[in-house]
Amino acid sequence: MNSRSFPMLVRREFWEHRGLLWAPVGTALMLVVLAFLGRAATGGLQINVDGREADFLTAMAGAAQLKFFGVFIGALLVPQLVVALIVLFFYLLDCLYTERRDRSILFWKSMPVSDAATVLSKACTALVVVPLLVYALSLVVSVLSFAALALKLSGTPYAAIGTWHTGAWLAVQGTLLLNLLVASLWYAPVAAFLLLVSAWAPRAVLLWASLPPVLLMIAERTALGTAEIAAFLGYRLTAYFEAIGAAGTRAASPDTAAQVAVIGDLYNRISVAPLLANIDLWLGVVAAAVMLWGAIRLRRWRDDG
Amino acid sequence: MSNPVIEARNLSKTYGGGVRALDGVSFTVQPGRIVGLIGPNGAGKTTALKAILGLTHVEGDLKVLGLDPRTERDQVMEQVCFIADVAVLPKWLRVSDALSYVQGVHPRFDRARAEDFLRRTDVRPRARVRELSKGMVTQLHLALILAIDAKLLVLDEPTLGLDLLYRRAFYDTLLNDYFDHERTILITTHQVEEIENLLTDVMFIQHGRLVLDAPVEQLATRFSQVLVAPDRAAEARALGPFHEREVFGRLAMTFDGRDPGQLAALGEVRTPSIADLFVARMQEKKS
Repeated sequence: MNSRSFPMLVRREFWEHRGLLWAPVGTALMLVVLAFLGRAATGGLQINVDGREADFLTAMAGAAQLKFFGVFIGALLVPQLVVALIVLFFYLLDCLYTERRDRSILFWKSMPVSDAATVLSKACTALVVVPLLVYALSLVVSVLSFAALALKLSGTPYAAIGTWHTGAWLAVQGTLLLNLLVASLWYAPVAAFLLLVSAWAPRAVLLWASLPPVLLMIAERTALGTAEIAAFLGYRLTAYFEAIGAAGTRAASPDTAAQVAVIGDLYNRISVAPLLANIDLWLGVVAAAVMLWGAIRLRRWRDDG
Repeated sequence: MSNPVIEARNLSKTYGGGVRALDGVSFTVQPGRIVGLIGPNGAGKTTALKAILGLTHVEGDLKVLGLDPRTERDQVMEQVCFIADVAVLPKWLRVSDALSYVQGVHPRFDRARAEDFLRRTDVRPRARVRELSKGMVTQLHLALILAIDAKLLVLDEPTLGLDLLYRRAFYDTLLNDYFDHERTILITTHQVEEIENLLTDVMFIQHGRLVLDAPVEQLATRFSQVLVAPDRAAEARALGPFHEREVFGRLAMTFDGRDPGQLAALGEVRTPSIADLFVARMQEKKS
């Protein structure tokens, strides 16, 4: 493979799938706008707080402030990650199918670019380039959104919530970068499966990607009465978000102490590095490599006439 | 003699359902030739080209520039270009991005040359392929290909669906700006008349077999067509024409390897055009 050409292969993906750039940028813009909107609307902060919220805000402005800061910065990445996952889902399903449907594959194949380089450039776009783009945007979003919060709170009794911690910010952003790496590794087999379907399906890629798992689940339920496949797939799709603490974390009771405890708990769980020690992550990476190899072989030899 | 550009021995390919797309095809293409691979639909033309380009599995010995396109496709494609047909440039691609892309992935691409060619057309650099007419898309594709210093250019029905002006311009450009006697061009088309003046070699393919493989300059010495009056038909048939058809009350008989002097006694002798020969060869097997 000509390594000089690899960046061009990735650029090509962004020309064809402009959503890869605009969806993350749009999400980042929206988060920043939403953060400032409250202030723009009221022209200064008028927080309507009942007693319980006041207790919570007092706690956040006090001893829990640093943890609140970290969780605020970290939580901003979640909507950006969810949007990126949705966009990447459709991108991966589409990228090896559309070129066959419009026959432009014959143009791409007239260039000295191997099938391995092509398929890997698409996997790399989804698992490396877009996550790095999301990360770069999250650096800006975190600073601007927190600035908006600090502005809102200035002049109130809770102004201390808006205290900026450069060291903690760097630490949290460092952890988030590691989290994105773990996300790429954890979801690599899903991405590779979608590429495989994209390279293989005669048409209706979305159906081909979703129908076989659903049929398998139904068959298992009918034949054995169990739901192992559903559990397996559910685990693969949600374990990452459970680890990051974004799913299913709710205070057990609405009182302040419980809510402060949740912030502390989220702060402690902000790193998903423990997933790296999970053998399932590495088995998934091996499965991804096998499916990528399959997608490369399919693109090399598939003859649609 | 220099190394052949393409060497094919006994190429065979059977599709599912037992259709034999190629049935023991052997041929050699020397450098500096313009070869027309001509045959009716479904004769195996496209399968043969796909085999040469490493796009499909095929049985037999096959070397393109000394490499096997089945196992060494990536190296083959550094030296080989092809245009499959006019519809394959993706609709979303911008003209300037197409140039950047080829520049980025092809070590033998000369961007200035492609831009120079495009300046002589109506294709604007900022336009997307979907905004271009079919003829303009072909001009863009041709501009990309002409700027690549390749040893072999493969064209599969390159002018399908284009009007006469674009078709003529396409072949003129190919001859004047591209072909230089070190390069080799392999073309398939239905429209034999349009390319017969530029070919140096012809291959006719039918039912997966080659039924003619000859340099154009040999055609005149090998084939003759005679217009025979009906009363001399039996006499002419004794000489074994491989095809005959009625033209204005006389019989146009086509002969392979007969002395034109001998045939002149029967009627007016002329060298059949490639289109005439094609029709004669294709109908011969049916009758």
